[in-house]
Amino acid sequence: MVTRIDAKIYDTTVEVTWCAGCGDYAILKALKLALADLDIAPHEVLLVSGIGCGSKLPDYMNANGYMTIHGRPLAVATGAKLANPDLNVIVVNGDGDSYGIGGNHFVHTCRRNPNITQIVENNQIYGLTKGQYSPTSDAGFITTTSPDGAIEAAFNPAAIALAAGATFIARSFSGDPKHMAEVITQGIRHRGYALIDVLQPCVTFNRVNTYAWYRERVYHLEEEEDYDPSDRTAAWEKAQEWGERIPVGVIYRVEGVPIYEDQVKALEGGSPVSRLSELARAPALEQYEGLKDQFV
Amino acid sequence: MEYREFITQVQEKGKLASFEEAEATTLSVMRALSEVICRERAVSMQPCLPSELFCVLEPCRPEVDPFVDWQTFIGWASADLDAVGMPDKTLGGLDLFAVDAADEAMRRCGLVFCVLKSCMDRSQQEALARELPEEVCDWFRCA
Repeated sequence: MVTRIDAKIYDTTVEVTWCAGCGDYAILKALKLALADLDIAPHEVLLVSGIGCGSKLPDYMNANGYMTIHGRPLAVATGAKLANPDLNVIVVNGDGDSYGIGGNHFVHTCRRNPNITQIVENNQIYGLTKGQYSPTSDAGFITTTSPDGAIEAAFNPAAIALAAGATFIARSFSGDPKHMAEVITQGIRHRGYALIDVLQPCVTFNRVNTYAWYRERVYHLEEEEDYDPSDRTAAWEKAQEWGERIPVGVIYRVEGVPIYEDQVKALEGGSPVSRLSELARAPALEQYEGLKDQFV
Repeated sequence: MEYREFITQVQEKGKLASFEEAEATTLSVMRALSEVICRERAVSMQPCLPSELFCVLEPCRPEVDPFVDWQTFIGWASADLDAVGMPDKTLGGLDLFAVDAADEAMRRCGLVFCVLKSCMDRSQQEALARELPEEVCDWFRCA
């Protein structure tokens, strides 16, 4: 395939304020590469984020961006997708924003299956607020808010997404940008909700889950000859793996599940954006009645 | 050069507090190199490296990884760097629980590169420099 878009088109002059060595840099780069690989132009992309270090990413990309309140990017992204299904809507937020504050939205987005992609910058800590333990921090993890070690068991994004009905679940490691770009490409190509949980070292506040720590543990599912990501039971087993061995790659993928926006009756006549000129006119009384009838 | 001498030189050049700290620094930077350079380059460096350091380069991939930029390189290199108790430049203020470790990590990369260069001839240095991310290449050349 001849690529017409150079990843540099997504560059901006905005100063990046992540700590040097932060895994977010590689995520930013991989996302640009994936979009360029898919020949998606900046005006065709909407990046939606929440609050946190990773949620600053839309500032650093030349594309449409929307930074929402904490934990709400999936709700906003779903709305944006309904309004304009032609947009490639990509949510980029951290583990706290996604699995903690936005946990409810995360679960329900999995079961709704809107055609959006979510990249979770999972560094197992709240970095922007200076290092409190997060939903994905392992039990026993010592931070400023867990001086005796985190008491709770860690949130398992892959297992919860699978149980909630997600149709694409993948994991990657930001120390391996090439693999990450490939996984993001697959996620964007997938028709339906795609979760890409990126294991991303926080070089300042998480001194346990470092690049070296992950390198010793991650292995590629693509290299497992017998692994079939469409096998839900096998995916469930892989989703449980953590600790000594951590699988990265596509954990689960099922195609052909109806997407949310295709099932919304109000969109049968076209999306709001495609009908903008029509909807912008003041409707006649009969049109109001017709609209009401659609919802009764 | 012997392993102990290599580490001692890193410690002295960087005025690092202990041999162990210099060793951790050296291993982190070599580990970062192993994520970028190709196996052929690593093998070419074997004769001039202490065997303990060559071992760190053994996981090198067959080809140079062009996707690793200086930010990711620093991430690898700063894995064992103490990151608490210094000014947090990301917000522009002093935060006792945060640190901008970049300056220190870059300095330590320079220390290891300096000793590494002293083990290599000019052509080996150039060959290695060509495989590094642009900014890291500059640090290497300036070391």
